[in-house]
Amino acid sequence: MRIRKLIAATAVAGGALTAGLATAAPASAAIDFDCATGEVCLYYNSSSYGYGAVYVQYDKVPDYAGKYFSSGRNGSSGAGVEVKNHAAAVDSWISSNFRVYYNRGYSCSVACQTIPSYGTVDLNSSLKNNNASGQNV
Amino acid sequence: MIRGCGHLLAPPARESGPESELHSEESEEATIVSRAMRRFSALLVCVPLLLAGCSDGDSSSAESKGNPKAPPAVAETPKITNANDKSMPLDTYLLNPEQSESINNAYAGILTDCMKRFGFDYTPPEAEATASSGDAPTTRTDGRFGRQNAEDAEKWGYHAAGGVEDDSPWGNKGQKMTAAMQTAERGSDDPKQKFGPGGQVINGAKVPDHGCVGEGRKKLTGSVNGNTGDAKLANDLKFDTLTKAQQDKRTRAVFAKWSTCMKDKGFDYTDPLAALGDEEWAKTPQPTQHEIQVATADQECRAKDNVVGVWFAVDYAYQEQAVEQNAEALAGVKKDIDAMLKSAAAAQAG
Repeated sequence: MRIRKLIAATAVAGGALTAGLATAAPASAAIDFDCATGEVCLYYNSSSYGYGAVYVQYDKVPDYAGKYFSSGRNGSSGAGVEVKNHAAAVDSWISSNFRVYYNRGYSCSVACQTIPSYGTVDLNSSLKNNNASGQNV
Repeated sequence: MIRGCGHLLAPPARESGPESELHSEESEEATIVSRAMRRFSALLVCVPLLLAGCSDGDSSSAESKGNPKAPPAVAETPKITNANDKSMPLDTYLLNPEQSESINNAYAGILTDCMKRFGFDYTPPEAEATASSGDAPTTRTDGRFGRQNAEDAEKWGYHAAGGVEDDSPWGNKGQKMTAAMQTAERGSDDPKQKFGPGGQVINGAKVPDHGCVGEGRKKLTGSVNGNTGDAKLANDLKFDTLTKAQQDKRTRAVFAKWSTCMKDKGFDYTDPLAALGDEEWAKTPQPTQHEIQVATADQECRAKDNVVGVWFAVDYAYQEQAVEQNAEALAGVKKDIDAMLKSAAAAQAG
């Protein structure tokens, strides 16, 4: 089933490609905010794919293992999936920077991405499947 | 060329995972099937490449001639165990810790002053003191090569130096944000909306567009929608080069030597990133004896085969290539950083 879906997706993508490159990239969907002031929301999907399930963070999280996405205002895609190594976008509602780390324990000894105050940002694709911890900085 | 083989070499915990564009609809089971299929087909492509990568020794030079996609040639490979004191080509286009701090301080100051105009005592969350991070570079935020300090390894294993890994609140947790405060902060009467055009009058003062957050952004970047952080291009390039350097066959060759060295010491890891990311380390708040043994062996094996030297040289070459290929856009990024730092200094002085 999954394979059929993939093939279908490939066919669609191929069709879009032949139809014209300009329309191949999906438009960024506007976010329906799950967060309130003082919170940071992590999403399973990137902006291009409608954000999906959400994990709301109120505190620093030294390890996203054991934390899970839930259905929210942007749908249920990814609900139940562990946040660690699966976050694709961040919507910040705090008035300081927020940082997502490649490694647990707020370690930027490899890499991290900083999300400016009140920013809505897709995580870089390299970090997207490697997010391990997050805190304000 | 070896790009795409990384997930074969990396441990499961770090594998690149489902292609995020499609993963939204995957069931667990289907994911496993498709992963296995992808792995298998990737194996067919990658195995000969890996073998070639292992057997052809140092073939790094002249590869990139005439092909912008080819791995860049490495000029020289320093013999080092720590690259934290060495600047890298992309450092100029990303905020370093000191620059980040001055921008953060300026932003927090503007917000606090702005909120005071409306009669609110407001404290933005305080930034975590960076002192606990141990040995780290100063010209960039990212270490890129993991722990590179033998003393830190002996003391902290793979845990953060200083042992600060708490899940404490942001720092202004006690702060209650009333509806009026939120209007002043972001310019909207609806607390569910992030921003609004302002214009409300609170305490005799008029709320600016996007509220005090907008005021902070505007003062620092010239626009209420301005980005006070790293430019997207620079951020993308930093991760792109990071991945390329990790997957480059010259790096993989030295990782293979490292892995053999670790095996001789009784530890089974594909590469230093796998050792660093071992889930085992997450189980205790402080490093265990075993963790310290692995981290210490890691440092010894890094030193033995000049792992950091090779890794750094390859990474440097990719960064140099990225800077050359994006020279014009990056010049704009640098200009924006300089302007923002100037504005931050002015705001702090004012």
